[in-house]
Amino acid sequence: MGDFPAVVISGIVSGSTYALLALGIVIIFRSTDTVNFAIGDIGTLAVFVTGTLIAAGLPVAAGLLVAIVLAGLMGMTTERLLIRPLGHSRNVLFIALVITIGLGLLIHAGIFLAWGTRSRSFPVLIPGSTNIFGIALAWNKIMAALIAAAAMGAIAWFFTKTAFGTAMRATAEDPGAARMIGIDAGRVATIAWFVGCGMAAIAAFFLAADTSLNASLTISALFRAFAGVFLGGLTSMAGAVIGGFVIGVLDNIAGRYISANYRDTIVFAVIVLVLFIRPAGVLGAGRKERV
Amino acid sequence: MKSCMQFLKQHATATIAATAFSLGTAGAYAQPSPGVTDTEIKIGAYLPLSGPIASYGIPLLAGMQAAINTANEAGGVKGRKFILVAEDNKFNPQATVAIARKLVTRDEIFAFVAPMGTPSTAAAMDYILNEAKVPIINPYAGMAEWYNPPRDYFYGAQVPLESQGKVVGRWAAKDGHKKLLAVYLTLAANERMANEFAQAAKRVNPDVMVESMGTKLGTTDFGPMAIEIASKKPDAIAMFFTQNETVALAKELRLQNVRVPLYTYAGIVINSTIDIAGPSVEGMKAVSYIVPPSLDTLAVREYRAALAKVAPNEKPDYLSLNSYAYIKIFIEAVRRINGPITRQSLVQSVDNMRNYDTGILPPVTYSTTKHMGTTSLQRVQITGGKWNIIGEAVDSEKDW
Repeated sequence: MGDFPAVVISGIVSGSTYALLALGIVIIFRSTDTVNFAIGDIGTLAVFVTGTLIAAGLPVAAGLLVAIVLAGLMGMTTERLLIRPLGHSRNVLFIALVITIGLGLLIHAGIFLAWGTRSRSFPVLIPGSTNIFGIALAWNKIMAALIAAAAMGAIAWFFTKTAFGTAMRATAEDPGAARMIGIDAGRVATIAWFVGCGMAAIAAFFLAADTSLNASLTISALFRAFAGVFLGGLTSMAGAVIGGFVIGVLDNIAGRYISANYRDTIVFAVIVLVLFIRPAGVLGAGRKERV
Repeated sequence: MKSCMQFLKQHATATIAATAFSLGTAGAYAQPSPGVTDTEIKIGAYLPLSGPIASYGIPLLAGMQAAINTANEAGGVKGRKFILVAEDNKFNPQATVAIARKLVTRDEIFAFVAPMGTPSTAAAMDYILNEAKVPIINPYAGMAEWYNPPRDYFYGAQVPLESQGKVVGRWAAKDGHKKLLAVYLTLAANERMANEFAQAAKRVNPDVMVESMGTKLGTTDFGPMAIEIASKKPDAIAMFFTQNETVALAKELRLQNVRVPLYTYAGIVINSTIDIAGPSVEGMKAVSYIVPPSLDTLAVREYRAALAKVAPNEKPDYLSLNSYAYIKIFIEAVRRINGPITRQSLVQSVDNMRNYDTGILPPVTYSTTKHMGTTSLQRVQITGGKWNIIGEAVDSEKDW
């Protein structure tokens, strides 16, 4: 157990990717009642486009910004063209869910057509590594964690300290009442989809640099991000972030000290136990009409 | 990739048109086999041409078409040109059964040649061999049990995974490593490879210690595994993963400064492993079914020229070179048929094939009791960012 602190830190760093995706999922869900299953694929597509631009000479750091903006624009377009026309009927939640699953599959197929099926290498933002408690951590992963922390801090500031952020929270709490006091719910939704999908692009960007760029880049991470969301609570941004980090740490501890083969099983056994005690998640509000 | 597919489709159409002008010389054969006319021989294959495994299926198809076009441009065989009907099975075993029925009953193919996928072939095998009685020649798939005992109409040239584990284990022990670690995906085939690896290493040197670690398909975060491996301090590591896991663990091991020799099996010997993993896999040793596609020999030069014609966007690769060789073996078997071209005469011709050298695979020899054409594997190593040959091919069934 001598390397326990290092394993925890490694888990926090890995968890930053899950936390980013989880935060994106919750921001979108709170603003439009949509569980966006395409969020990972939107981020991946943005990184594929960015990868092409980087190969053509775009600096890697600029590529990250381009990826965020591209994913954000794709998110806005999705909300405007596919989600908003659904209106506010009772079954919208499920229809939107199916639409985002279908959109994810279409994006996946589109990536195959445009870039082929083989994995590609993707450059790191900062090469090299550093030693923490005796284990090496890649600067790429540390940067991912720092940028994730900064992004999450910015989101927290935006939602608590700005008028528009307050309006977004009001819309999430009660869309009808928010409209009555003059808040533009459509604009709130657009911004939420931009920010949520932008978060996914950051996660996909660092995942690609860490392993390789392929169409299935975010599948495994999204699986864990959803676990983090449900652990922290689908309605809580802070809960989603904490949930993402907890999943990363649990995953690393299980993989290191119990079994690499059963790490998913162990992580999800813990989650089931937590949800059994607190079904809405650790920080979530018990709104039973939402899945 | 898209343009490659379009090109292949266009080329297939052109091939069909060309057959209308070819001169048939076998009109005297009274009872032609399905798929065989006076002017053409129609063969079939199922491959994943979409979905995540399409990265294997598409280059395999390009290699097959390259070999077929080469034969057709040389006038075909016995006055007949070859037509390939390739179907996308998305690597889905259930879909493969339906596709096999379609190829046999609607397309009336002569034989399945170089279809891809162990689970897919296992699923469709009963229908193809026992019910339809159509030969399967050289699938890009392999399990040892398919050849022991030999099955009617079924011939292969891909050394089974278990035998590959055996060669890798023997190689690691002969290199003098005493403390080996085998990491594998917890799938039956990969686990068997890891077991064979351990047993083979111990046969070379009973003092060798072999530990094993399994992980699930789709694992992306190899941080914890690399930390654990670092604490075990192995002399060498054998990886029995798919490419994505191999690359991810190799990168993580390099990060954790675990600089020990890495060994792996033929599935990883493709160009993109080096493209993605870069210096993390430098020095990696592996067994390969075939010689490198960059080799400067007549056979490989012919392959590269044929591939450039049929699929200009497809880089020379182990996959397309492998399927190119499989088709060459089939074409040679057809060439050696005496009398009418029937499924029965095809299997007789394959049974009589001895030491046929494609210049790509180790020479293949089949017989009525041996339906696996070769048990030899070529050893290769990544040096200078390229896969390079190490010595002669070795026989997985012998103590080389």
